[in-house]
Amino acid sequence: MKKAIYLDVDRCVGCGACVVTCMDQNDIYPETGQPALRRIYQIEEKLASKTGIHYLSVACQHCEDSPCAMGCPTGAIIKDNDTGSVTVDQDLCIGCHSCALACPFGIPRYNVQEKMQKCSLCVERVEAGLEPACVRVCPMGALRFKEVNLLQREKEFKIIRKVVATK
Amino acid sequence: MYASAKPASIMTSASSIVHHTNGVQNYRAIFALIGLTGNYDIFGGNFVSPQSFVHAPGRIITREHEFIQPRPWGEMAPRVGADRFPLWTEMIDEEGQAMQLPQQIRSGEPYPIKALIGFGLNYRMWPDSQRMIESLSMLDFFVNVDIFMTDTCKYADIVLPACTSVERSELRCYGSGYIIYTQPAIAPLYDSRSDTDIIYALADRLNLDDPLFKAGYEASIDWILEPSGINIAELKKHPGGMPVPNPIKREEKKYLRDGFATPSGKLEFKSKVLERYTGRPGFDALPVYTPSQRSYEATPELAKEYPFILNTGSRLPMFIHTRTYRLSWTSSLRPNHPAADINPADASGMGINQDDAIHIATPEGRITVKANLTKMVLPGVINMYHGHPDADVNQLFASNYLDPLSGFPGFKSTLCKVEKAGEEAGNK
Repeated sequence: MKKAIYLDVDRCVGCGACVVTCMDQNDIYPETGQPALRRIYQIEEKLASKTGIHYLSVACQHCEDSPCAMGCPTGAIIKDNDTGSVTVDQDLCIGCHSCALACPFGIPRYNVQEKMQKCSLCVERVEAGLEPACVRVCPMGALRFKEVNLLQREKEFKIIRKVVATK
Repeated sequence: MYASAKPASIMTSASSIVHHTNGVQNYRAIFALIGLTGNYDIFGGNFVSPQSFVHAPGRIITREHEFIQPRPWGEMAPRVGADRFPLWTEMIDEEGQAMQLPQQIRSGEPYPIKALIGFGLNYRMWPDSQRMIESLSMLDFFVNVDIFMTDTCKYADIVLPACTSVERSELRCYGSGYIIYTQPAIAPLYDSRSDTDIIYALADRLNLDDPLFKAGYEASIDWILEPSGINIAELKKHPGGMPVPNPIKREEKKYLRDGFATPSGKLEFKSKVLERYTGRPGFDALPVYTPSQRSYEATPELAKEYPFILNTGSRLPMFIHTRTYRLSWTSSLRPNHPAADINPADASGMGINQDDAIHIATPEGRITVKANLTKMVLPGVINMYHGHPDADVNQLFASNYLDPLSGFPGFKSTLCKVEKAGEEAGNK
């Protein structure tokens, strides 16, 4: 069964541990101009009289029906049906940015060689039976790697329990 | 809500209250509430767990204090800061007040300081940090021990490289009654050594007249642990740690048996210790509120020119003091640093946009940083994370901006002004 990385926005505190471990896992050194594959956003919005501050840890969503792969003219972006990962073959990438236009989440980034770079779902770790690096390190348990329907089941149960408890 | 809920406890952060020039009295006021509401030393309230080792409770009795302080202070040279911060010196054992170090190095009073050995000493943690590093330069001999070649290390005559915690053992205890002597994951790299190795090797070279120093580090730990019935040999048999044998029973209201360490033996809302200091400003026996030494209330004239409250010393998860600014991984998480937080309402009034260069100035100096617009700070407040090598905000504090009771610096509240860079009035 395919697994996916899920973010619980209520748990994320924006510490950036996921970003740092992602750089470590993927040998990314920002000073060389390489872009990070996972990023943290801080969102401040005023709800009624209260200011709420939220953090989001964002990377590729590995869409089932990947618009980036469909937009790629050289077949450099591959959707793997076993792991669910969407990966880039940088040897085939021509740096045309079609994927950037196609992606609804603004995920693709381009390195100094103009090759597209993004999260690979830590496919080499996953194939070895490990969790993606960001999930493993998250101190808040905000990032989780589980089968999609299993996570939904947990969420469902949590909500039901809450409803019953308030009765 | 606090007064009507039972039990209830007050949790304070490590620095937010004490880093005020009125920090001790404010703390006392808050702590008086614990006594008033009957929440002192009860389960679920502010329960008191006696410390066992390195400020951590472990439900064991140790001889740590006797080890650290084998002789009473009366038999030794006066502590640094003893004359300027008598109350703190009277109340705190085992330590000197390091905020007074630059002053004593310069004045040579009450005695000259010629040489200094620092363990992870970081001059940027002092108010008027520039004055601190200049003071260190005045020493005849300065040794610093650190994991990294820090800016402070660059001023040292000798730098001794310390190994990290994964390259050494350490004794740790936990409030649940658990104790562990950690095993190193790897041997120390290169010429680095553990802090304790360095201390014991120095003591050996100096041929100090101290049998425990001569016996070595692990023998010293055994001596400290002796009353607990635990020893290093036993701990090494349990590399994952072990529950302490016969843990001290958790008891509520220990004060009914032991009393308080106050002259009256009771919890004092009106301090009999402070009564002895009557007449000194700020030393009121009741926890009276005195405005910060630089504030709208205390210095209204200064506040006209410096209308913002400057707050520093808080932390972001990826930046601890000066430690991780130099690492590209962690610094990339906040690529606009050095930056100061400013409320969007204040920023728009001055035409300041996100990432614009701004000057933050106090009568002591000025730094130029980027503006980070965020509602995390209230209007009228500027928050600047400390320790950045390109914009050291602690330079903006006077070296004597200290709580007279504790000697702690008032990092959380002074006055400053903000200007958009390039739009300064005149040649200030």
